[in-house]
Amino acid sequence: MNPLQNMVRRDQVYDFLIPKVVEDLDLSHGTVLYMEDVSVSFDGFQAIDRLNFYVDAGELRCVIGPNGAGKTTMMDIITGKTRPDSGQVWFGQRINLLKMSEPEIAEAGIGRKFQKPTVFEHHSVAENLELAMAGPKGVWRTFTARLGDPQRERIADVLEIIGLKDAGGRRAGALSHGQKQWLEIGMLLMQNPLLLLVDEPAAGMTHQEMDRTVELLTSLAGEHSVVVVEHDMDFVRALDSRVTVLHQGSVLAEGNMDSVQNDPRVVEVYLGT
Amino acid sequence: MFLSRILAGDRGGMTFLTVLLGVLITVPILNGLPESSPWHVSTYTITLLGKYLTYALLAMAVDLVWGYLGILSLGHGAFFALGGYAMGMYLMRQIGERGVYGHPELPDFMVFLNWQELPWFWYGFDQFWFAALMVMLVPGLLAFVFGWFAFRSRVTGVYLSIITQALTYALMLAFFRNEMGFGGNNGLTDFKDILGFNLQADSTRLGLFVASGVALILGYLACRAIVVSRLGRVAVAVRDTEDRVRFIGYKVEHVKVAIFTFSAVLAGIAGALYVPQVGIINPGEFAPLNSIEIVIWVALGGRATLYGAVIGAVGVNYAKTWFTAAMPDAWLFALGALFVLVTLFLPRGVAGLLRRRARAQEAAT
Repeated sequence: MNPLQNMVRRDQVYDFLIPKVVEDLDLSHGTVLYMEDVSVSFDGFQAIDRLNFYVDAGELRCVIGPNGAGKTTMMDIITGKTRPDSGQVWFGQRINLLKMSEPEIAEAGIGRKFQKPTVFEHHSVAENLELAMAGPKGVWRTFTARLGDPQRERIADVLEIIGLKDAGGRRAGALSHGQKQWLEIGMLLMQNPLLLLVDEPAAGMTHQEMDRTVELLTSLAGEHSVVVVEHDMDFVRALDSRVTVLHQGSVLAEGNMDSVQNDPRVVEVYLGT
Repeated sequence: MFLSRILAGDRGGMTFLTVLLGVLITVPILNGLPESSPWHVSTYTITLLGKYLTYALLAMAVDLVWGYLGILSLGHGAFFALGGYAMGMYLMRQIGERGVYGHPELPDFMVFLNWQELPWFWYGFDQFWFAALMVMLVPGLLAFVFGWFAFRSRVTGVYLSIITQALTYALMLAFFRNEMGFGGNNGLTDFKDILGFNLQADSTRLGLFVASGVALILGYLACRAIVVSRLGRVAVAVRDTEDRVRFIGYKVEHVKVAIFTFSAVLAGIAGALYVPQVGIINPGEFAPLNSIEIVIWVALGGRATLYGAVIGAVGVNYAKTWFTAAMPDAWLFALGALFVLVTLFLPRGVAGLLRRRARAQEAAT
């Protein structure tokens, strides 16, 4: 539909006429994220093709798939970085993510960890957490913001959870790769999101670090819903959760790790036989 | 309380403020000495120092957006010049009947152009408070509108720098036109007095010097207050990883527009203090080269320290004054050499060198 037709649609009122109410997240059906019939293409390449994807509240979910299967694009769509060509994306029953900007989506309760660990290298670990803290984020409120005791406690708690208790004052740029990954998960926690999107948390980690990350992620599920995108099969197995296999932009298979791994279609996609 | 909070751990800044305060107190005293005394500071020198101080404020404004926010503005000369023009318009109206043509209301150049009445945008500039307001409002508004469109469409990096160059260049061409009503090529000059004080008088020049110093101190404290706040930390985060800040939930555009606008207001104030001291403002101040030179001051002094920008601005301009008097042809080569040497050997500028020294001393004791 062209923009002009869109402007005079009779079945809809203009967005600015609808009073702005902050919608409560409605989880009455137990599903925190709905993606229905979503498609997006870049210069003719169909990155996401009629994807249907649901995440239950409190669930830990792994998304796997070969390169170019659309995993990162899917995250981009959920967080508002990429707009799909068609389809619906809802957060809970009432929040339409396709009409929101990236900061609004973050505010609504979706946090994201990037594939490459991106922390603020010039800030200390504690400052990184401070910046990510949930709360008013307007320019003036940020300028006048001071750390109170509850906030300090919260930062200390999260430092404890991510195992960087003694590194609070260190420059984030000086952390090891694995520690940066944890710090980024910690920043997600400070945002106190309902849904965490975690892109390749185990990349470049040693085995001990990986074990620690598995522990961390599984402990987060329940209170938060967690979607993990990962390549490392050992890591996914260790997470012991429901697994969704993406292929060419749509869901190929879904189930626990064992059933997915024995699915002939999945084997074919991965091994190309 | 406020001071101790924003200056905590800022040794360089404290030193800078102490030195500046000292200069502001001693220079007027030395100026009072008889001219035969070896310690006498001439009024000429004071005006020169006053000019450096306004440059320093301008450089600090650039450092705030470049060093802390990562926006390399190559158009800050435009905000400086706009503030200067607003002040120049007030000074023009103060001339009154003492102009060459003796018109009670119209400045000389308008009489010369055969204009019959004052253009609407010159109204109000006979009042100092109005001019002072415009000094901040005009650059601020331009920066706000410009920033709003540029940052909202996510123009960053080199592209943004080029657009800021275009902005100041376009303004220069516009102000060169006589029809604009700002004196065209010649600009505004021949000022007589400010707030009733004769601009040629020693005491007025001293007053302007002190005012520039005070403005620099207040400007430093204001910038510092931003830098140490959470907003300042968000700004540095935007500089380092803009996308990440967005996903945390900050509206990056708003942060950028706010700080960019504040910086433009500072530049405007610097321009307003500059004009009465040099006695002229013309479209040459909008020249793209000027804006690039400011960036060189900041780079030489050291980015993201604020006081480094002051060191750079004063140092380079002192060298410029010296060179253009001693060997005028060599100045541009000297500036070029200075820039190359500092980039090679002092990537963090003079301030970086001082910091390293201080740290080495601490480690030794």
